[in-house]
Amino acid sequence: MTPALILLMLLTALASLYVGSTDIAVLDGLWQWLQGTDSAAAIVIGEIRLPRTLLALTVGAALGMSGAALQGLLRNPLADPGLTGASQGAALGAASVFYFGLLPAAGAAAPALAGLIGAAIAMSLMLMLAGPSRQGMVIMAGLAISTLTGALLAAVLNFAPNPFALSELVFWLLGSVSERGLDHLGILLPALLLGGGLIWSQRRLLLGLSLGEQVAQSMGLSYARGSRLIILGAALLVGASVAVAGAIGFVGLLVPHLVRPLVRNRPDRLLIPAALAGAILVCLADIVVRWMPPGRELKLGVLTSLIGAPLFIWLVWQERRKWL
Amino acid sequence: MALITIEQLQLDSRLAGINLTLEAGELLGVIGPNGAGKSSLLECIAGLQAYNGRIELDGQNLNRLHGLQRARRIALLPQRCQSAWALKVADVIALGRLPWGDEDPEPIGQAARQTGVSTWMDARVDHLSGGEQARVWLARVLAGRPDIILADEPLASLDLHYQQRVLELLREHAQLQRGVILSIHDLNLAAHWCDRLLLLDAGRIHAIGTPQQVLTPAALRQVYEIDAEVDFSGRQPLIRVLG
Repeated sequence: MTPALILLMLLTALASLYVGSTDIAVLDGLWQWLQGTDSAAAIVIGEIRLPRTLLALTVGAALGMSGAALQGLLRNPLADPGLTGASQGAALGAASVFYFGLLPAAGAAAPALAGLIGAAIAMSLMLMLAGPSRQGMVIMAGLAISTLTGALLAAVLNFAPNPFALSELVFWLLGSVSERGLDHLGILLPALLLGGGLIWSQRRLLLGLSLGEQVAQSMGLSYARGSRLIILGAALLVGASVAVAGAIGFVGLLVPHLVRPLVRNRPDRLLIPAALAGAILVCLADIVVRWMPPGRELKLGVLTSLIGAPLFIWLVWQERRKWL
Repeated sequence: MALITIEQLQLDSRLAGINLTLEAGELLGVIGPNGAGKSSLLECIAGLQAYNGRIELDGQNLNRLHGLQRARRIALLPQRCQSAWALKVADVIALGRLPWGDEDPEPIGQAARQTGVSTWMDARVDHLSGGEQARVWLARVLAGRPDIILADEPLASLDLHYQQRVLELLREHAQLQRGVILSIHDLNLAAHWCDRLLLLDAGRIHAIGTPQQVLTPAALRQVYEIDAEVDFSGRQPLIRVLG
């Protein structure tokens, strides 16, 4: 299963390198770029298409894995970075940095750091609000926290210093992996490895939680410590990806659903395949964005939401049927 | 030899002054009205509650044991169980191996055979009936091969046949160096199957001893506020509530 997904991811990445407004020899360009030759093909590949492809893959992997982790932790198939307030919290954190120049000491990593802090605060507030009866309350608490962070974000937009800054921020919020460089990867990749590592270290807790907190604890797993590590890991993944690429909705919600049947519904075996499938999905969506007729670009986050929202409605329908 | 020794156990307002031992080879029944503290007692021993007092496992302070070490020796079968995901029966039973960090097919297969769920290993647990699921949850506990099973009202939602089967399995488990603590509402079954009974009332021990010592009309009147006829002379003890 995992090898097949890795192969599919590599093929998608290769396809992504071929898609663009100019026809160039992709493999030659890649080779020349690696050797440091300054040919046109090398510049197109190295400066534009490769960063874009790698960013799409890492953002997708981060969102897919954080969705799988949150659904496992909250034992709720509708949990997702967007629905738990994490994405909005991250967006608020990153937007505050852009506007107010917070955390100057962190340099280029400041938006990502603020995104991580925002996501972690939003998720902690959500967990506190949901209380111990978590399973049913998570969505309500997530909605409440998303509304709050959304209002704060609107306030930040409201006080934008000038119309140009406002439109820049709005376009960033719509979600995209274009016009970014390899330095953004320097923020995303460590966040992906560290956040993914934290979540991976708690995979047994995720499995044990299938039967509830009580059973997991009786099997010697520490819920208090493990859940904090999972929240921190998910905050790292969501915070960094939102800070770099804006809001790319519904990936974290849908990817675990697509992959779950392939891993016999086991939350511990879901993590890596969900990361790979998320990478494939976002990269494919970005290929579609580039295929669109020239003119104003359809933002990646808008596309994933347009596809994701109807699927979300379908999922709610499925859940409803379960309780009838 | 005592497997578990409890001294002066206290849990906020739910339990007070509990002194108790579980001997090797013993099936100990915990009885009492709703809210008497049966589940709380089992949760303390399972490490789910921060209690005052002392619980020892083979002479070792339970609080000093690492969570995984405790879980390898003491397993909890909670009152209500539900899987959040549509797991296969085989994967649910394999969950019992979590404290060991393996998915050893030998104990998993044995637990499935003991509980009679071998033929559904590939079925989804949420597609089974309530009684069938109850056997899968029990198999999960058995797969960990714990010394002590804490079973919290395992008979609820089971028909008469499976009530007998589950009690047989727990009876079978309580041998040699192993023991079972079982919380149970049905006093007739408790009297028939348990070696000793612990009668809890409002978080305190009302009586502890053999079924004959504990289940007296006076105790039942005081704790349950019922008039009952108790007959231990037959082949099976009989407790009959007088209307």
